[in-house]
Amino acid sequence: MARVDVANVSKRFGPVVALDDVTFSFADGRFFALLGPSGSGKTTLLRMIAGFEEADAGNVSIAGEPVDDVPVEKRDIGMVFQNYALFPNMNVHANVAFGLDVRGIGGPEIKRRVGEALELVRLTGYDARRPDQLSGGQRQRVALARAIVTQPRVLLLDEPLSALDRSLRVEMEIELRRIQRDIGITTIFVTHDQEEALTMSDHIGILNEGRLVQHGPPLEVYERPNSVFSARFLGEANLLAGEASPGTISLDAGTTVKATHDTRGRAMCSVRPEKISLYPSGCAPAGRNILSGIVREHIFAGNSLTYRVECGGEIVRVFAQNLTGDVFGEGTMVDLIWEPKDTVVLADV
Amino acid sequence: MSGTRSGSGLASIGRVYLVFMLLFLYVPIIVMAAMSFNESHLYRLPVEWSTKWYERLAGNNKLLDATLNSLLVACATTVLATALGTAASLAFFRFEFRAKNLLRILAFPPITIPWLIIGTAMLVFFFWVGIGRGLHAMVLGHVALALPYVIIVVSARLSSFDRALEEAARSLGASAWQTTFQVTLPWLAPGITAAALFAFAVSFDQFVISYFLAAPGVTTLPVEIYTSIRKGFTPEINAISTIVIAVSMTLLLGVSRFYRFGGRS
Amino acid sequence: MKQRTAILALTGPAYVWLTLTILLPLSAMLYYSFLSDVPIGNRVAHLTLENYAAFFEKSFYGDLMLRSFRLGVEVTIYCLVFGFPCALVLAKTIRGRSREALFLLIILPFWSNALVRIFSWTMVLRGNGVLEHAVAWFMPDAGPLNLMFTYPAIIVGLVHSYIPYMILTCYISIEAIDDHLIEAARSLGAGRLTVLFRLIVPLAMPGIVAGAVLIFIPVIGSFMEPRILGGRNGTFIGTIIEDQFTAVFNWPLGAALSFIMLGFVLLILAAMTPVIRRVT
Repeated sequence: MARVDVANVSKRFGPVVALDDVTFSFADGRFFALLGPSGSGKTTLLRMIAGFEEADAGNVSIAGEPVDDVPVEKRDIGMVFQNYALFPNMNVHANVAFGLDVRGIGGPEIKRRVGEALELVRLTGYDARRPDQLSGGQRQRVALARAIVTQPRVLLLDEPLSALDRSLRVEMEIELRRIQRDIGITTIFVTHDQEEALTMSDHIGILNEGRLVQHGPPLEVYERPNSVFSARFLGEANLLAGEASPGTISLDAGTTVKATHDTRGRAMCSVRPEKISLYPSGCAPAGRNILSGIVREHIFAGNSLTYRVECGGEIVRVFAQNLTGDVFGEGTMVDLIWEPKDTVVLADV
Repeated sequence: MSGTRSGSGLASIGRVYLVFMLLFLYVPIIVMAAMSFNESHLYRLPVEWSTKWYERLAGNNKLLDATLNSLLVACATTVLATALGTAASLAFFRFEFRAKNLLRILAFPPITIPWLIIGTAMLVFFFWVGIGRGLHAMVLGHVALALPYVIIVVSARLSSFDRALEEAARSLGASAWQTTFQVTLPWLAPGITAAALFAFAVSFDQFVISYFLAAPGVTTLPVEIYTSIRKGFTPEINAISTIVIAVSMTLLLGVSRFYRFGGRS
Repeated sequence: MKQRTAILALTGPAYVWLTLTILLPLSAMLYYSFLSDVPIGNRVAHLTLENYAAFFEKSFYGDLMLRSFRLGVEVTIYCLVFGFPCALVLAKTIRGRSREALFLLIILPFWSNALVRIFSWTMVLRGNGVLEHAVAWFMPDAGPLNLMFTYPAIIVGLVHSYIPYMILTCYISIEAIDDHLIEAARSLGAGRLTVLFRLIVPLAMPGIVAGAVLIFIPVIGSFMEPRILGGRNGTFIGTIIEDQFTAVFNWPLGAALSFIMLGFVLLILAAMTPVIRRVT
């Protein structure tokens, strides 16, 4: 188990900048998610930690030791690949035993440790199966057992759940989290799926165009996005432009609302759709931020509703619980209400 | 991507090795080309530049006739083997039938039996039933040799064919034949081109079968070359071989612009 | 019924052709191998086993069969040892357009005449030839090599002729190996040699076997290469069989020797069947 540090790493592939001066510490024993769209550099960062890519500039260290000149096989890492990369010429047992075998560990111990690893991923008794006889979820588990059986210092996961169907993915998310907690290994998980990142990790890092845009615990990153990109990429956000002065922002949509910030000038603020409540026009309680509009569309989804409300020319999305069974019809005049603390003024315009 | 720091040393060793391998593969060809321009018929070194063997070649009707025969046989073989092999591959791809595996295996003897045996067997049989020797007998033999290659190459291309394309065509109202000619065959075109190239090469390069089936006076280029090597070689052979290699390499390079050989297509 | 007609129409021509040119000739030759003489003109031939008996009575034929077998094995091994690394470098180290170009360069010699390539080697290997000049350039004291008309000369010529097969078949199976498998092995602590022998070689086995079969079979029956490069040392079972058909005109003996050789080949293929079955 160990911490991983990347310091000022940059990487180009020809004219494409994959990573641009990224610095980050992955603390010991925690579960990190690197989140970003494709081409954001998240996979390059992971592969650099693994040793498959060489940084043009900057350093990577594991447990405080620089590993820039250490080849992959000497870094003592475990990695799970998107397509699992199970060796097709070996059965489950041989796949899991491979890492122990190349380390020169003897027969009885291999048998014991492979048994333990398979038990951990709940595949006891599957030793003799070949990879092509396994389901997607089972292959995933074998790949995980193979990666952790050597007790590596870091576990690297490259979009390991993306090939699974939805229900299996949810099951594996829980499973993966359980196993990570059980063995307490530093884990870095690359994904483009925000839900996966939010549910599984202790800490999220959002990458865009090779830069680390924002990082922090999931709740903090979600509640306080620092940029338009973060706000949009993680969850859904209504982005409202306006003129800011400390404590308030005068929206182009027509009202002045309160917020917790101290910037001045043109600004963009984000309000999450689920933070907004709808009231019939004129019935809203006082003391909160208020914006008037007309319901243009409502989408009914059983337990919840999504409204599209036009406010001064802009469309604002609102999520509402189906508490009463009443629905605001199209064309209804409504007031949108939310707390000042949920108005997040973003750094960039 | 294995271009990591520790791998770059090994990678350059690999490249150097590849260069040596290419050198090994090309040395004889280069030597032959050089000798075709060498004045001395005893291949004395160093090379004294001369085009006299090319001039002599222009007057050597035996060699020129043999070359023409080779081309004739190769073209006939290409057309026949490609058509027959493609048809059989289509049947294997399209239909499930009991004899399929047996038929597939039966296509392979031309590869798995030494040519020497096939050639002598053809000689015996053709002689016996009155087909005799000559260019027609060679075409018979060459097509048989080229068939397995055509079936392998076309089947490989077919195996990555998406049947949904055929189904889509049928659902749009195309008949089975229309589907075959307007959807399946155009998609197969690169595979068929490659197969035809193989068939041509197998025939044009074929020596063993031709050697046993050549009638006196009617030979192909490889047989003529072998005869003259055994009788005492003349450098005109270097000249014609150089021309043949130059032409075939140019053709292949031309074709490679349309068909990727290196990757999974 | 309609499907049956289509199958017959599509496969029929190819298989009628193969019957006429492979199956019937082999049957005819099998029949000839039991004849006492060629039944041409007014010669009288009767059925006999003496052609087969000849093989077992004279150790000469058996020795030549073993010599051909050894030649086949050696050429196959050299092709594997030198061709496999070449395919590996090509498939896994070199990328993009240069790979396509190099691949083309390697298969180009295929399209030049095999016979001509063999003859070119005589110009390289002969006394006072290209190789001796090249060696003298580097090591002036080396003296003549006298490689021409020797067993090694035959090996060099045959390896040169057949190595593109091995490179091609190995390349195809190595290229199909997912790079992630190699990365996975390395992330588990495997060094490059371990990756090669535990992963790449087993996964490339179909290509290796295919290449070996494609090389071994023609080499064991080769006669042109040994005659040109081996001279007096170039007597193999293939050259003996050729003599029966073209010089001695003893077709029945040639046929019998051919079938004994074919039996050897089939025995070897049968012995390798478990390996082939495992990898395909």
